Amino acid sequence: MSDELVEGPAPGPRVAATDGRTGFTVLQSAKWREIMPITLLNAVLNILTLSLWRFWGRTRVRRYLWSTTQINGIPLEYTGTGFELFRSFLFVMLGFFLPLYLGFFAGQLLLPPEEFMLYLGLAYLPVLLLFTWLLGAATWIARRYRFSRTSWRGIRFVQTGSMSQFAWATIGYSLLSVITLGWFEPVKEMRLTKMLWRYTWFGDTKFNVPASNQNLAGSLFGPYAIYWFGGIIAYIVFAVVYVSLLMPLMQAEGGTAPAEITLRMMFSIYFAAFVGMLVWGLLGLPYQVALLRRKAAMVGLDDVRFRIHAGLLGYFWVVAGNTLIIVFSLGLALPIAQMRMWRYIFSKMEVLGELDLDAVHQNPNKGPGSGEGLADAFDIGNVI
Amino acid sequence: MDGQSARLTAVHLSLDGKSLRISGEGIRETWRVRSLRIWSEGGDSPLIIGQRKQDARIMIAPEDRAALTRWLPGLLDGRRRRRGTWMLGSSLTAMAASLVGFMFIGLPALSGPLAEQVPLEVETRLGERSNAFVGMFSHECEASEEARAALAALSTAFGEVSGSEFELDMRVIDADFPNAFAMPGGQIVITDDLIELMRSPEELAGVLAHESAHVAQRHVMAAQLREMGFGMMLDFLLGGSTGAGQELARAGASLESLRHSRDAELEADELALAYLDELDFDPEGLASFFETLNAYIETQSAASHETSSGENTAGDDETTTPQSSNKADATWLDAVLSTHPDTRDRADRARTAAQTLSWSGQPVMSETAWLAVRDVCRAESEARTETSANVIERIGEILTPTDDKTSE
Repeated sequence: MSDELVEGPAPGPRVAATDGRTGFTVLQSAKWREIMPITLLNAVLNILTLSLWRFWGRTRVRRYLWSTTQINGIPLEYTGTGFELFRSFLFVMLGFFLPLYLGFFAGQLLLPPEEFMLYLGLAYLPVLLLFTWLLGAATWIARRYRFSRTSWRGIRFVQTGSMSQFAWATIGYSLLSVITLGWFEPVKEMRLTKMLWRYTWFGDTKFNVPASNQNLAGSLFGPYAIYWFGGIIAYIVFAVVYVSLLMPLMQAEGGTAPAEITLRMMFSIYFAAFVGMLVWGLLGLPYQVALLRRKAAMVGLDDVRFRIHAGLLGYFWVVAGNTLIIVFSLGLALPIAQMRMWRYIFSKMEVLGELDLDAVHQNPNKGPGSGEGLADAFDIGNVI
Repeated sequence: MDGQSARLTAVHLSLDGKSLRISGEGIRETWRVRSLRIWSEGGDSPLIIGQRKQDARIMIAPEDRAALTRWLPGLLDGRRRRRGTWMLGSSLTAMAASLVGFMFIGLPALSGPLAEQVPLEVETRLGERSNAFVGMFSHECEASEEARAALAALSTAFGEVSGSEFELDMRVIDADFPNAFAMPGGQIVITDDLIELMRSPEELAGVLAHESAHVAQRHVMAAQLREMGFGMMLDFLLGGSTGAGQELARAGASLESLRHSRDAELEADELALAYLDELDFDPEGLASFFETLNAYIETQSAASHETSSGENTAGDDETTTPQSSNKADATWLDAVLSTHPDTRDRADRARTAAQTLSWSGQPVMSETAWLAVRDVCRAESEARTETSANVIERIGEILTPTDDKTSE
């Protein structure tokens, strides 16, 4: 039997562009009705397998989100597998955490208590350092994996550069953030992001970032100030709500308080904390939005520039909705929240400038063999 | 998309038996149908297929999809994927089930024999550490010569009769809750509040016999091993993730790990009776003690709720730190209730078993020795009662509307 079928893009402007530079349009078309079955299946299987399914579940969500993201009508591909994620999780658990555990237990069992406490005390700072370092490393490794498993038009994305440099930078900048009471945070965010994009490629074409660090975070400080002072305001709000809820109760009851009142008091503490967090979260939104815009504007690919026209209201809508979705589903509906954020970002994305795609070739760097185990262990692989 | 450059080429596809022929401008390839896989498929996006481990891709326009599905039903009708989900889902479920099985059956079963393998000095060392921990919520009292001698005599007697590899060391500590526990390495600790409850030295002997059995059977070490293994396996299963589901699993698992030590409790009860019998101490002492404890629990369980509510009213006011001992009281009581089999049952069981045993009427210790033991922490205890009374008074002050401290 031999049938015949014409495939590939119909002759049109997109194909006609083979001989020159193309502009870009991005379209994200994920839908509730399509992510719902994935979410439900993941929820059921995560429960049944006591969360062992999570590696495969996450892969399915990514596959769906990637393939519903089209650039010039051609979808992205996510080529990672659940097994890759699972395998790297095993590596990290058996190769890193198990020895750490065993060492800790052995120390407890074999050393005299005072000596053990002494070593534990001496080890405290190095261990803290190690974990901060690992956190940076995990971010880097997870991102490298995700990029290497993403391709478009048959061309893979690649992340190169040095993991240890990034990890040390994470430690250094975090330290600076602490020393400056948080005021270095915007600079840290921008510099770390810049470091990642600086070594990111689409095939053999490298993304570019500003050469100098000068004024990298400049316009972020305004919104960040709102966030920073928002923390203080949120605390005051918490205290006010707390006291105003407790005062009438205390005045009514005097010294002895029956059990029912206690429940109400517990509730009022949580409620006050909730209101405080809400205020802080809201005041943090302008910074989040500014960060998104600024990060996008920093990155370029050849002559192509990116913009994310994020607005306060739209972003608020996404974040508020996502918070409710995650809280009320006890985290099980995370894919829906991820979809909403993903959709928002791509719907606000504008790609300026043109690129000669025919001149882009495959990068021989195939990326890592396995996944993002370290990130999973630290629970930072959940971003998408 | 040839996988070499980002260039697009329009191609013709034809199916020839088990291979897909691709022809286009400068392209002539044959892909085996079996090696095909879908790389991108979602909603109304175009379909992208390719070969396993290869970069080249074919994009199928949505309008051509139906035709291709007729050609490649195995690849495109989703059956393969559903079967994969089933197989993977069930093997992972089986894997999770066997891990859980190991945690709840294998680990407890192994913990006993493993505990036997732990060198004595290691357990002794652990005991020192537990001791330091006990020191955090209690303090040891100066015991009189007579009380010390009485406790030492009981230690020796139970040490011999239980065949314990550790030298038993029984002590009374001053704490805010009634409890007795065996620590690794043969240390047995009784709180003054528990002694206060006891009606006779025979009850004390019953409790000590029970704790000696825990030591001799190395239940303590087994429990420690079980807990270590448990924590490790849980972290392995759940990874670093912290969702509500994971937290629930963690809580459930640690509750389950407590439940198994109930077997150990029953075994210790049985052995305790045997020890009492062998030493010719009143075998009804244990039953009698459980009855005393039961009566206490019944009166307290109602009261403890009141205590805990009273203590919560202080909220996070820093001026009332001693309230934490009240909290410890309630928490410890709950802990005792959850680990120990129903006290009523144990009392009945011990009573029935004791009736088959004979006793010459020999007392556990002299009346004066018993008084001395009861006296061990009295001075400390009284001092403390005074301070708790102060605390209660203070809480009352804080809660009265006239006091400004509430706004802190």
